[in-house]
Amino acid sequence: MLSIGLNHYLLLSAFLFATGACGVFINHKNITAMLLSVELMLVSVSLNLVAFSCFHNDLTGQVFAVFILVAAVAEAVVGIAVFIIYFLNHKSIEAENMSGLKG
Amino acid sequence: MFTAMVFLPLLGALIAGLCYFYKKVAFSKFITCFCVGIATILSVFVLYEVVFLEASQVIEIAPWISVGSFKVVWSFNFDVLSVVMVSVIIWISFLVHVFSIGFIEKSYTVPSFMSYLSLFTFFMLVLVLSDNLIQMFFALESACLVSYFLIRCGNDREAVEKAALKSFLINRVGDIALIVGIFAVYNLFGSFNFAEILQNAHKHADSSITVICLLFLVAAMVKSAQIGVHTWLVDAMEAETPVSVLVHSTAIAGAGIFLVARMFPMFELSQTSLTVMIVIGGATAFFAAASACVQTDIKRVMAFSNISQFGLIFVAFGVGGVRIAIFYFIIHSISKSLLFLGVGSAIHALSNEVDLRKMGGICRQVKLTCVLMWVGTLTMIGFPFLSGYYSIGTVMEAVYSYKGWEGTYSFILISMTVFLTAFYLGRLMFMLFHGEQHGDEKVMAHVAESPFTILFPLLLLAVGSVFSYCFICECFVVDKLIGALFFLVPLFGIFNAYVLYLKKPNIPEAILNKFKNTHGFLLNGLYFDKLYEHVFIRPVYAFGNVLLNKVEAFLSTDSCICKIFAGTSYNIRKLHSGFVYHYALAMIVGVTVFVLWYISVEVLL
Amino acid sequence: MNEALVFYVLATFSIISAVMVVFSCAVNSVLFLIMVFISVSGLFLLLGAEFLAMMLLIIYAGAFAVLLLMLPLMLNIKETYQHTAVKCSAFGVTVGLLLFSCLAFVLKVKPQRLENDVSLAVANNVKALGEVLYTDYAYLFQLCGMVLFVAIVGVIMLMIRNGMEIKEHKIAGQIIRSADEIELKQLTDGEK
Repeated sequence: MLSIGLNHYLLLSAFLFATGACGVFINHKNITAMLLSVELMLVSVSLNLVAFSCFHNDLTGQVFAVFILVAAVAEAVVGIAVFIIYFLNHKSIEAENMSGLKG
Repeated sequence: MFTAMVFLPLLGALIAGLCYFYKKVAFSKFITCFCVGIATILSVFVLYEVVFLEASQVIEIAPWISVGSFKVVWSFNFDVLSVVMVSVIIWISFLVHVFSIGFIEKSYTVPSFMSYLSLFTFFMLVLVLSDNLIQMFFALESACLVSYFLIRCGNDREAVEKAALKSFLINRVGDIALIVGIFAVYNLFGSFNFAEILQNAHKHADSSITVICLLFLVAAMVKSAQIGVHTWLVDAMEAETPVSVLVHSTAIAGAGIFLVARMFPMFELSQTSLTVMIVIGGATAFFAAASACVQTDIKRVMAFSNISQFGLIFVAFGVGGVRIAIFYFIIHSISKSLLFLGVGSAIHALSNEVDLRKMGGICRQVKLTCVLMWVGTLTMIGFPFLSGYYSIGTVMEAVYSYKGWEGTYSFILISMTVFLTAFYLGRLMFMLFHGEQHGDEKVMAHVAESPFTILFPLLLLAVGSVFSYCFICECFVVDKLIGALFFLVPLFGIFNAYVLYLKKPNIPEAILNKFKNTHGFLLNGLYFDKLYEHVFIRPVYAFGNVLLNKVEAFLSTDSCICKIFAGTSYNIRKLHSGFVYHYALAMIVGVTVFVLWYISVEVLL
Repeated sequence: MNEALVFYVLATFSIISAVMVVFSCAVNSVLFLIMVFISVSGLFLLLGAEFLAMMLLIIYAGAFAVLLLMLPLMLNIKETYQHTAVKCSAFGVTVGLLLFSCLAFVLKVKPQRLENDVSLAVANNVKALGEVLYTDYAYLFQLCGMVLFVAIVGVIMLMIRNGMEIKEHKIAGQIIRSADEIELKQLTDGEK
């Protein structure tokens, strides 16, 4: 119990991921909260990778964690820009009203 | 130096291509000629170094494909064969570039035309210098594509479009054979490198070698327009004259020759393929020469002449081997380019008239062209002590001393071909330059000697066609009997032409009326076009009609298919709610399913 | 012992923050996300990934989260829709639990040790990471740069739409006069 192994980190990461996933649905009207949940999921994935990297003594995991963080930043920045533009156009960013893709 | 020689034409092509956008016609002409000219000068040094100093070398440019044991490298192989081919191609290309300056009228497509010419030259260089099959295939395809552009360039007549498409499509037939052959080679030898393949060729069974050789032979024969697939070359004459000279009489057809020459050590192992080569080559040489005698379009005469000569080269391969064939090829390219460019010059003088019956009697106005073309003609027909005499003589000697029925067969056919060659070239010359004038008065009033840029290549080629044998071969000795025979046969042919077309012009008419069927047969290139139409094109059309009228009619009316599509899409449409979290849900569900699947496979089992 | 204690503290911290990210209102949830970042970076330190820990702390918790914080403040989001229906919450929690249990099953897999050609032999984590990043993964690293660059260009392209409406002061246009715009008139004495 007291010695921390790989499994502990994996469990924590799985929990963070699941929290992020259910956050997308719980906050399904608030688009910013969705973005935050996605960030949460990305962090949990990089935690997962780093944990594997350390316990397997292999740097590749950390390298890819770096890449994930870069991708997360790029994605979030573009997302924020889209929200702002959307807000300027529609005066609200409620996800309920966003159904332009409706078939 | 070696690499620069290859890439200079590409550079010229790129710059000229840019000129298209900036409408710099004169500069594009200059830059392509300049680049190819420099490359030509370099090629002389390369030739000297490789042939006389015997410094063959392989230059690796870049790795291309590297997958396990499957390795292909961009590389240039400078050995005697490839360097000789390079010299031929680059010299003729250079002269054609210069010729085009004067020949092509000022129009907006000139930069792209010059660019394509240079690009074509580049790909041909890559082709003959390649040291593996894949690179060769790549260069061959690119060259074919560029030749397609060249035929179409600046010409939007329907006939040109069709000719370009036809030459492109028929060449694909050969490429299928070639690519299957390449696969077979890789399967057998595990390598694409020529040196490795040819070294190990004798270790394998005869039958497999024969199959590979026949596949390569089919490819080479399509490229060199042998009988049966010669139709593309005849139609391709719709293109501008410089294109015909470079692409159709030297380069693409030469690519077929080169393919055989490169793989010849393999061909030597398979008697069957040599026999096939002799049989088809002989037949091609004879029938094409016969067809050339009745054509009225001056460029078609040249086209059939080309086909006939390439048949002869294939016979030379079959009976004598690489040296003789390549020797013949070089002499032929020089003299044929001379003749062809001369024809171009005459056409230019006659305001683009190509019908032989409307020409004649212009030798006074275009003296220099006339004289130079006579030099070309005499070389082509093997007049003694010009280059052609030696090249034909050596081929004849090899044929004469070849054992078996193939020897007899090809001896007879080639003798007749030589006679016919002299005849149709004599006919061409007499109808073009001598006798009475048949053209419109308007056209005739404009007949004048071509500008210097057109005459300069002709002069250079004339000198080349007279003396080139001195440089190439000192070891070819012509047998006395053969020599005497081939002194007389061409003269007889010329004499016949002189009598028939200059002295008694009513005799050809009489003969023509008597043998109407044969005439039509030869005039239409043995009706191969008709044959293909009935065998390939009609059935495809019929099949298409069935699809259109029956199948499509069934599907497109208000039958089941339409309803199914409409109903399904109406239902699927509902899946797209447009809400982000629904899509996210789909994603999460997908991920969960995959994880569950993974668990059920990896963990629980 | 100490390590385990630190882990449990940080893990509890991050779990609570993560739950709060999901269930709190706009500005608070961003703040809780920063808490998650901080605690995860602490976990990274615990794992020996110093570079990543610092990167997460500085770039994410420092700069990036501020950007996120701007979003609800700038857009002036009202708090009215914060109370989502119980049905939705229940559904979300179900999905989360399902996913978590699935992921937890992975623990039963015996991980095979891979042949690791990139090891942590060098004592300094940053140095080791740099050596790998600039040699073996140089192309990927460049690609990352490209991704960021494209993101920048994309954002600018999104925003430039407003720039079109900005009125410019065209000095040249004001100064230049063509001949037909000028008219010379003779004035009488009375008009002077």
